[in-house]
Amino acid sequence: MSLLAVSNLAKRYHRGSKPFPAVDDVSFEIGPAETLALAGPSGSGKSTIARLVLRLIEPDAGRIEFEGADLLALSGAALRARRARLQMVFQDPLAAFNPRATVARVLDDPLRIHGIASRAERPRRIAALLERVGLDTGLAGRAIHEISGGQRQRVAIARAIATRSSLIVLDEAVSALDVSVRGQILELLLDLQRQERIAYLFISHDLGVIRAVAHRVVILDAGRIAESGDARAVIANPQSAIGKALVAATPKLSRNRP
Amino acid sequence: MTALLSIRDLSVRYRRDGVEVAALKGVSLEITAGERLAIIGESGSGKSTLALAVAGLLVGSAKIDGTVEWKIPKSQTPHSFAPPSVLPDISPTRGEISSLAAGSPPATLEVAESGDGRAISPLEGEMSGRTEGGATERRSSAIGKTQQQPLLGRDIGFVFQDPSSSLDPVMPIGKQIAEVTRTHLGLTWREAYAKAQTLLDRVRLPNPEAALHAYPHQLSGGQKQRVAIAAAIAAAPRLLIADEATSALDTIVQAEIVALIRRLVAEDGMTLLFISHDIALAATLAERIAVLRRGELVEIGETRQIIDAPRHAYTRALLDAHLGLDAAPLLARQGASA
Amino acid sequence: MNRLRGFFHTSEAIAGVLILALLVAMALAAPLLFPGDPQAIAGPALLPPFQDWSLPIGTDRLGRGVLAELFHGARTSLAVGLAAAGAALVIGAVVGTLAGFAGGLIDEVLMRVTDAFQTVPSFLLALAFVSIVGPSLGVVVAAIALGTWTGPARVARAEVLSIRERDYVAGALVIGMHPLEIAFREVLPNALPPVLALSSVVVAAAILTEAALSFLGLGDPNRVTWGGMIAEGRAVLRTAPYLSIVPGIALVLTVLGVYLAGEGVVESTAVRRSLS
Repeated sequence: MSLLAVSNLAKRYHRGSKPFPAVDDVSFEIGPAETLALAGPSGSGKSTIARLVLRLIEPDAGRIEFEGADLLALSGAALRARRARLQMVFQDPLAAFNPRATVARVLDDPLRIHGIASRAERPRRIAALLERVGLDTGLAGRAIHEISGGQRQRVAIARAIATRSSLIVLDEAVSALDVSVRGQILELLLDLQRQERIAYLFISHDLGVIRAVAHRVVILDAGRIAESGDARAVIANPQSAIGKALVAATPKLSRNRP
Repeated sequence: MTALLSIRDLSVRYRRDGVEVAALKGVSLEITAGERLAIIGESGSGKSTLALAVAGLLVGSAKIDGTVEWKIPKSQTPHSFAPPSVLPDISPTRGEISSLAAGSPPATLEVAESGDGRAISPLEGEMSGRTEGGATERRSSAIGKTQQQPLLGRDIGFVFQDPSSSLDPVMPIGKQIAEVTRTHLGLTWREAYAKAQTLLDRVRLPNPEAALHAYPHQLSGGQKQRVAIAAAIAAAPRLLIADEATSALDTIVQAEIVALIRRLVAEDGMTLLFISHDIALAATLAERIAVLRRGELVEIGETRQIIDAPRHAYTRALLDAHLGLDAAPLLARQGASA
Repeated sequence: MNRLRGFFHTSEAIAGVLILALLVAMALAAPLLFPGDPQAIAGPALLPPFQDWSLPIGTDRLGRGVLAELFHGARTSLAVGLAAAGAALVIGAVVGTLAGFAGGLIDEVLMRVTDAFQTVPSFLLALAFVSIVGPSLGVVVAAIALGTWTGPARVARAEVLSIRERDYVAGALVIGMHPLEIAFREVLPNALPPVLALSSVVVAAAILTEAALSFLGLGDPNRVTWGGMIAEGRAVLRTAPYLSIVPGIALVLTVLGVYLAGEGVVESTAVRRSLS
């Protein structure tokens, strides 16, 4: 059974007076511990889909089923409770946290809100979360703006797994990172997926990264699905025009090792 | 093979929150006339500082040692001192490159590395500097008065990462480009507009005649970057500096802009300084690559040599970290070990 | 550290802080230097200044010491000014945050209420309120706050509208935080700086409104106020002008001090903002 099933999702925005479809009749499924990538040029609707799935914005039409429940039917406390299982990591880890927050507070919030640990127990849980994402537990007292970009993204991942989520939406989560840090973060994500059976909705414009970590890929163009399938197969042999253009535009590093 | 400029032992330090940060530490390199040189590095490597230093755009509070020496012949175009309002960065009074003695006007802005694509771009510093009263003090102590000093805008074109902040939002783009040619080439408005239209055509903006009267907000990100490039090359500079000029764009638009830069550089015989965090992208465009790390020049060489036979472990690490369409997927590696 | 340096960067800011420090010292020292009721008769009526050194700036029509009144008046002015401004800022910040964050109908209703308050001249509002409820310190504070909270509310709403769109607010929603907690714990603290920048204007306005109310006899009758002192001196303006001039100067200096110090704070925060 699929973890997340999105069917016939649609969202229109109004640009001036004329409506323009940001997401148009999009359907896909994600299974447990699976990584589905959404690829496409800017304006193709990738990020809108991420926000629709997370109920940060409301769709005009369609259905989102998560863990067997109709996500769009939920509201108020029931929706907030369900959010524990459905998390997100943003592109810019600095913008994704309250500028006044400390690492400890960022991780304390989900534990408190979902009643996962008592007040006395939380510092230990926070330390365990930091260790789980490969950070020094001494970082807990630091302000978010004091730590490096890579560390911030690890904190963001720690927050996303704090509530034992089953699906994490990664919206360009590694795009702003230096390549050396990016590799480590991707390794961490894959490790978490194996250990905790977390599924990822992996949004990226970078086919190289998608090919490295995703099982399947959906290529979007102007809000519609252009093609989808096994990530490596699609990228090796794209069928749609936009797929071909994306592959052609990706910088190639042809190394001839001596 | 004549050198266009030679950077000797360049060190730049900024003060940030009362702490001095070394952005560049004793970097020396030569830029050959007509070559395409890429400077690559991660955030904090100093690559943007290097670009700003070459363009003479470092903030006044930066402490600078070493020299950036230009070897350009006397320019035929007459000097013009009318300060253009097109781009905040194209000001004759700011463009002088010199053996830079440390002056210390009060710190008004902060220049951050723009490597991660989201940090403060140097241009934002520029803009805030301008709003505070027009002429932010920039270093202008020239050494060799005998030597022709290059002018930003006329001799150097600079393309920033974020075209939205490098273009004036309330001025039609045609006028923004026309001001550059009027200022630096002494054209009349009529000639300048004609030239602007030609330039918009050269950067492949659809319907250039109508585009002259468009405002930046009416254009897409890629189109704005094309306009910024048109303004940068308007006065036919010898050197074009592109500082992460494609980082904010998606893959397809990035490829288009890189192709555009390649074509323009070839057509005009410009020298290109291409600043990027992406070694694969740099390799597609540059003849030589310089690798910076934490303010130091790690290595510099022909692109093929850097890619195929890097001498430095850091360069190798950068290459290994690249996830191309031919790299072994991490997923498979993990699957095999699981 | 940096903030302090930035704050004392301008001599105007230093002057403002010195004036305010002097006022606070006066207010605090009043019961020590002039124990007892300042409204008690201390000497002959209408004693001019510099005649009797136990009453350095003379007495009023009833023989009350002007200096003692001035010191005790500083207490009232500062207390009412700060309390009213504080209340106005708190009400404004809360209303503005709710309106900006909730949007939709709540925003519409709250902003129309704000409009309603803003269209009535704030002094008339205060006047009406005090004359209906009756003059006392608390009522005066409430009356002034009633007319001044709208400015902070609008500024807070504008700031909240821009903060609402930031990723970290979406992040707080995603972890399941309650919207009210997001509004007041995540958004409001970050929306405060521009609201606080209004505080000097609000405090100065509150002090002036209090003085005007007292001048019209609508202040707390059991307390000495500078406005009341000016009104009192008006009857003998020709023969004893100092009775109006002295509290008038005190009032001018206070408002000036608040403005200058407030500007200093705004400028120092602006510098910090441009640096970060």
